[in-house]
Amino acid sequence: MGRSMLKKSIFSGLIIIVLATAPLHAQDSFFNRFKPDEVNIQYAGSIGFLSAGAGYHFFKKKTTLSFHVGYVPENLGGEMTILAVKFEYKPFAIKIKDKIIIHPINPTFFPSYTLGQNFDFKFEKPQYRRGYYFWSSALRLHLAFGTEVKLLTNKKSKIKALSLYAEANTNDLYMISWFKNRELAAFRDIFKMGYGVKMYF
Amino acid sequence: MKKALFCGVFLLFAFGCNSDEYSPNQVFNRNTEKDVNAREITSLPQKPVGTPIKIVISGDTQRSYKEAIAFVNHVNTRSDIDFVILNGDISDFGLLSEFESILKIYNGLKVPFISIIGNHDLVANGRAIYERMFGPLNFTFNYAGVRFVCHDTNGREYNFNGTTPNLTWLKNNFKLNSETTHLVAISHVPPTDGDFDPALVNPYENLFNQTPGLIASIHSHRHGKLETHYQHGKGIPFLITNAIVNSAYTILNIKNGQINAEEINF
Repeated sequence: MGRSMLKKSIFSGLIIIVLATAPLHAQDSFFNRFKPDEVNIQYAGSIGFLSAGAGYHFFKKKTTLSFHVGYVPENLGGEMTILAVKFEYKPFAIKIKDKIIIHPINPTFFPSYTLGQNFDFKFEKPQYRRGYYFWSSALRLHLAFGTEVKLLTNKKSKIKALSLYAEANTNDLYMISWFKNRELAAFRDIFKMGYGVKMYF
Repeated sequence: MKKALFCGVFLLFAFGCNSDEYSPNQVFNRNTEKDVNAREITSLPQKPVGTPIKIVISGDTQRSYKEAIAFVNHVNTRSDIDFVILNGDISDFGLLSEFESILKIYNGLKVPFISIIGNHDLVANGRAIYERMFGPLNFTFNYAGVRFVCHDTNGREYNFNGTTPNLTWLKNNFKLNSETTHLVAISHVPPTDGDFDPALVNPYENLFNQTPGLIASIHSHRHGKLETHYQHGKGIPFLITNAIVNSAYTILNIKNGQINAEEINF
């Protein structure tokens, strides 16, 4: 099995696990304990052409911790598999009757890690002396702002809500470059978009 | 209520549509230019063999967009330049956004520009980005009877495995024909630098000094004042040029197999 084949199968395996474990039946106590509060599929947003994630809610559902696996196919930007862990905070919720909740701005922080031989956590000795390249090629630290429109379902339904979201993110290296050239470009120019759908349980 | 809904939906799309990104490390997006070196080489005017030529060596643009813009504006005020060389470290972190920003600035040049790989351009997916955007890492082109031999000397990025610079490729391409009378070698890391494969320094300098018709070897990388190195104090000059990050470039005058270099600060 080739390297890329292996990556592809790991990736599809993870997606299947995420999707399959999400609606698992309540009596299965082991899975129930780890059953996510939400699952999502995202387009772009700097963690893959497509990514899938599962998240857990904390602090009166105002905070979400979620885990994502993303994939970029070769013909859409060079093959890459990316892992990300998102910390999302939802300070505002605008309720419209019992049907819709709008979260206008959700500050989010997420590290992402790109897998593959071109990417390393750090540039290792002895090939590079300490500080030769100061950054990590695999690990990016992202700052993001999301907007979410949540459509509530029937209270008895297993799926509590469906939502659409957009997320603008930037990362450590983009911010370093922006700071050096801040007269040339607006801060918002270094933000990149992603769009997704979420399912709440 | 309606207002709130409207605001939410507006915010959802307010950031615009053209900035969806799959990864900071993606090799290309739908707008990324391809094979820029081939395009620029094709746009070089035809000049008879032996015509004196004047070229600009610029290197190490990295994230210095302000200096790169000032450089392009400066060169565009001159009318005596045949073409520009962008001699490596186009990017800093090896990211597509950096390559694209510098390409956009250099596309503003009135004369053709040819880009060569630097060590920073080989970081992360940089190599694949360079190959798709500019072309092969080792390549040649002819202008006014001079064959320019552009090549990768970033040995440290290959962990000094003896492959870079590729001496076999160089030997095969250090050849004159009916259209060429002289050779000029161009690469990023000079053989005097610690990032050059130490096992290849002597074979490389020997080869250059034994190659008939070779006028000079042009380098960047060191971000220092223009300096000239000779293998044993004589022979082929290895010219090490200053960097765009220092608001400096180098003019090369090539005439009758003679070269002279002058650093310009802008």
